[in-house]
Amino acid sequence: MNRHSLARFIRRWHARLGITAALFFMVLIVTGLALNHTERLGLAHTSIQSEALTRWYGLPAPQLLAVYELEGEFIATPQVWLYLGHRLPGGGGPVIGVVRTPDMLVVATTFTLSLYTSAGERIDSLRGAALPHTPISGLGRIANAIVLKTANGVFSSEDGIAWHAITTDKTVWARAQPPNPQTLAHANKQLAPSLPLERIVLDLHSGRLFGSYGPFLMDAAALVLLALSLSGAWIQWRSWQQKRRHPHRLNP
Amino acid sequence: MTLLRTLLFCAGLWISSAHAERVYQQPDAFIAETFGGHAPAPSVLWLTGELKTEVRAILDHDYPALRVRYWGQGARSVWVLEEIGKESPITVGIVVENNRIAQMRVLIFRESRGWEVESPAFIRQYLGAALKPGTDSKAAQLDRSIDGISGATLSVRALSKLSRLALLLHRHTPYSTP
Repeated sequence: MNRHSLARFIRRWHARLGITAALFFMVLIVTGLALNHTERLGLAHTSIQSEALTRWYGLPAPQLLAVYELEGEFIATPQVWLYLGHRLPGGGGPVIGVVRTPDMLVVATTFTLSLYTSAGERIDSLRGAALPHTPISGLGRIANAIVLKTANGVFSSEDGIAWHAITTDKTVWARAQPPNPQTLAHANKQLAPSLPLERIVLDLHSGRLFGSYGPFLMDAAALVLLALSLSGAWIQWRSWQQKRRHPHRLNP
Repeated sequence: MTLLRTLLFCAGLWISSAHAERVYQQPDAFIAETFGGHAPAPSVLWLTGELKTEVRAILDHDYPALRVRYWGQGARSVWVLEEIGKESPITVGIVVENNRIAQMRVLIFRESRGWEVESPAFIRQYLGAALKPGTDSKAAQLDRSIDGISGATLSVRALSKLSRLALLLHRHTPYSTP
């Protein structure tokens, strides 16, 4: 290959590689700039909830453990408890029962009793000696009082502080309802996994968003950028050489 | 091969101990012990209004419940409080008597580091401590400085916050002395 055909070969491939890799460069530049200013752009604090992304990342669909229809809907999942759309602090996991009194929402698990306001603020979380007995096997109410069923008897309290044994059978026990399609759709929308925008931008920058071969694709784009820099420098250097040798001739 | 197995076993033990929950004393036992086995019925203090703001100033966040249970008798109140050191809550039992800390004990430690705060030598620094009134821009502080423990900075900070919180809450009970 003589000098002229080598120059033609390099120019041609310089143009081809530049056009082919332009899209990757744009992605690298935009995502790189964004990652450099993560805090200012608030990428870590911005969550993206999208079914397509959820499927793409293979995140599990939300799993419902129980639904209680009170004065509003209570939904239990392994990770969170939702009441009227609020995530209840300290909640999550299987529940024994849920009841509403005029002042409180009460959620029982086997060993704890959590009390919340109707706005979802935690009032108290009772366990151990704060409960009359455990494990709890049922939760209900009589008028404004909470009723707990345990292997050692049935106990009632109005405030969750003072408990006394009762023998009445007038308790209305909490029972979970099978979720209707509307509840399911609502819960799926509320509980759909979300991803921080920073993670998506980082995965786009590294190529991981495109699967296991994505990083190699971005590696290839980086090598193309290196080749373009070298070929560009070589073309420019050659152009200067020719100008010096033939100052009156136009550059081809 | 035997050496490798032993090393792996030791590493496993170290990892499991580093993340285990250390229960030094059950909260119920601490309360019973404080009152010589005859603990009074619990009382509750609601964290609302001005008190809620004061609590937030000490903890740098809201207390995770709207009411706190405590046990009181004479000029003494007993509190079982929790605060996160780095990642997990540390449960601490605190006895306040005559507006000063009379006893303090780490009951349950769930962090992977910083368990040294449980040592009696460290806890001794808090005994007798009272609360200096805060200013508009600063939350109430202890009337003494507490020496830290290197490697347990966050746990020390959590215990100091809880000691201040117990002293503040005690002031809002009928067991507080003028």
